[in-house]
Amino acid sequence: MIRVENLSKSYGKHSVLKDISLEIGAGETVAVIGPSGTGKSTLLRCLNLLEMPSEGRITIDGMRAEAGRLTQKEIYEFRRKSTMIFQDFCLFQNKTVLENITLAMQVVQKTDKAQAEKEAEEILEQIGLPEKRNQYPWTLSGGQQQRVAIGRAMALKSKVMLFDEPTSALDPCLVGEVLSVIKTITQKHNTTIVIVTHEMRFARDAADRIIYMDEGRIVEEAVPEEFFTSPKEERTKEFLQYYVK
Amino acid sequence: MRFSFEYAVSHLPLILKYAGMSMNIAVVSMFFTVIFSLAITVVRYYKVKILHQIVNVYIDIFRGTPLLVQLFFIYFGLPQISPVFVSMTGYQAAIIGMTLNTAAYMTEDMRGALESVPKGQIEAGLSVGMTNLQVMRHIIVPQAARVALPVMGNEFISLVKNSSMAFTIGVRDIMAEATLLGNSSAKFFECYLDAFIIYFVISKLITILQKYLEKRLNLTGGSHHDPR
Amino acid sequence: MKKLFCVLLTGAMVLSLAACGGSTEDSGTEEQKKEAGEETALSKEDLGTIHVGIDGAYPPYCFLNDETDETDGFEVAMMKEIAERNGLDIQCDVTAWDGMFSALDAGRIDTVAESITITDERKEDYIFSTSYIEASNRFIVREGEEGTITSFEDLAGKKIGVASGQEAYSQLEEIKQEYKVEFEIIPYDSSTNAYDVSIGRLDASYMNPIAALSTSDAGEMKLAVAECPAYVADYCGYAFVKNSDRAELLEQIFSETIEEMHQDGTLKELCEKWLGADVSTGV
Repeated sequence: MIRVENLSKSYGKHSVLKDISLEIGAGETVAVIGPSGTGKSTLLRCLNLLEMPSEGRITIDGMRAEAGRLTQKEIYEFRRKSTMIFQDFCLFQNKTVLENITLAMQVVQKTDKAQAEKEAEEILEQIGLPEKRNQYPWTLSGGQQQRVAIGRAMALKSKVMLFDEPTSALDPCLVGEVLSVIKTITQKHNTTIVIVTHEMRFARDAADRIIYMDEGRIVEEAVPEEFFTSPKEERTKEFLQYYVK
Repeated sequence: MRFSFEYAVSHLPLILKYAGMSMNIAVVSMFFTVIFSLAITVVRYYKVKILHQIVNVYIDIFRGTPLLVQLFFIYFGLPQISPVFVSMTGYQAAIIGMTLNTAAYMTEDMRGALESVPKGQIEAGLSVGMTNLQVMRHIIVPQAARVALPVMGNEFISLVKNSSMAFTIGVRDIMAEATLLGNSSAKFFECYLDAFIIYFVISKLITILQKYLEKRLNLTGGSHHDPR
Repeated sequence: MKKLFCVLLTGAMVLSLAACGGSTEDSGTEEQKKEAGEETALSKEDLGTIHVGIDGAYPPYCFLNDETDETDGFEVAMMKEIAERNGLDIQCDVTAWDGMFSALDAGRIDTVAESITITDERKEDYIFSTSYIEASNRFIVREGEEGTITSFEDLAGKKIGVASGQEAYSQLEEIKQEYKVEFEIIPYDSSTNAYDVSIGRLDASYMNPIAALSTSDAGEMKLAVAECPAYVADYCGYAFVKNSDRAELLEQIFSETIEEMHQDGTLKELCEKWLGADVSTGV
């Protein structure tokens, strides 16, 4: 579903991603972990073209994006192959919960209003917030806001969902509700998921594969069981010792 | 002083008659100012090549010189460059001058308002597949408008007050009538008091309307609480 | 999208200008005809509307009549008379004094009905009609202080108000030179400085005494003309721009009509009616 070939990203002389290649199958859930500032989020943002890759190729669902060779139209089209969930939710402040979910359906996918609202109601049921439909984002808790953000992404029914540290901005007591929503998606839907996270237990439970990144490179990848019990690389071991008590 | 209360009261309606012209200038100028400011704000926001530099020079010039000089330049200066400008009336010159002047300020307000919308809002819009234009229309402009509206209301009040300068280029407005009557009857205090009251009442009414609009906007669409 | 914006904006501006222009003005047409190079001599019928600048703030020469809400006074009466005798369409456009000559230069008005003094300097830029009245400037002081300025030497150290852009201003500068006397000249944008004499901001105002006393009466300012005689006798005429067939024809018409009015006594009548004295005699 996703193929990344020789992807690099640099800002001037500062290089953030160095020659990343990876392949993710349809329906697979991949957790990207690693120390802060090692390019995990940048990788994710490149997949959604919120950052433009400096070099390399990305292919999602059969559409290929080559660094530096994209027209604006192609960027829009490629971006629609995936949706992104942000660390700080970024719900549309001028829209109600329901409108946050229906907006892209109506504007991007041209679904008519009644149909969009019907689907949004179903999504609200799934994320457990049907009673909040007419409220504005700032009246919700962080956890609720992130659940709406996930709902907003679900509404587009894209085959790929990208989670950029979805629980890092939340109070510890609100993390659970968000993770359980994400978990439902991984189980019920045939969606391909890439999630950057610091929640090791969640990664272990929900992911099919773990990718460990450090200093802009993929250092190690493995199935969770293997990754957490017998890491091969020295740096992975150090990281796990520090993060997993 | 030989202040005549009676004169002031009896001549108020006469001066008030010209409030229509003052408001006309203010409203028409405001209309063009908003359109023009939007256009140049877009040019600046997206840093359109060449146009962007031209716009910056324009803003520099119009913010750096007095409105009165600008009006004189447009009305009296331009006809000496080309005779086609002779047919421009004082009213038209006033509209053009006020529009160019106010827009130079309003575009800054608009830019500030646009920049007050967090970057995450734009990225969120793009990430769900919207185009730049759609993000602009559905997400950024509605949020920026809430910030810009009060400032724009103030610009409008400035326009009403600045319209008093149109008299110097031959437009008969509140100020013109007050000056003419004052000079003709030597009752300056009475006439300028009338003008004073009329301008004040107009400004006050606009402020009330502005407050009302702001209140309504806030009821229907969110204050600017940081989501975090 | 950006282009669309610009196109819309330009369109809207042009439309509005066209709309306003169509409804109010036709002054451009004569110039255009002239530019088209029609060499046939202009006649009265070709003149169309004649725009005359008037500031409406110089009673009794011109002022705003608060009953009709229109300009009135000696100059307006003159214009009506000239229009009537020649079958012309003369329109008095209220123009602030500040922009009066700019408006004349710009071709927005054909002439100025504001008792303009004929001077050598002005003659360099404009052609003048035959003069129709005398309007020499005098020093205006508070009642009872007429004796404070009996000669130009008495001006020493005083604050004198004057309307800038008028001949009076240059005369004050000349007086300074000629009599080697130092005084402060305070320029005003109009003739409103009489008021400032009455409230004591100025020691005197150098202006037309008829206008000053009329203002004084209306505003109960208690002003009077100082004993000091006039520096020069000033005569007023109507100014027209040079090098324009239209202006030359108008100058001719105005001059001839003034001459006629002089002879049949109409000018004297108008002077007495509006100005309270026959100031057309010395002309």
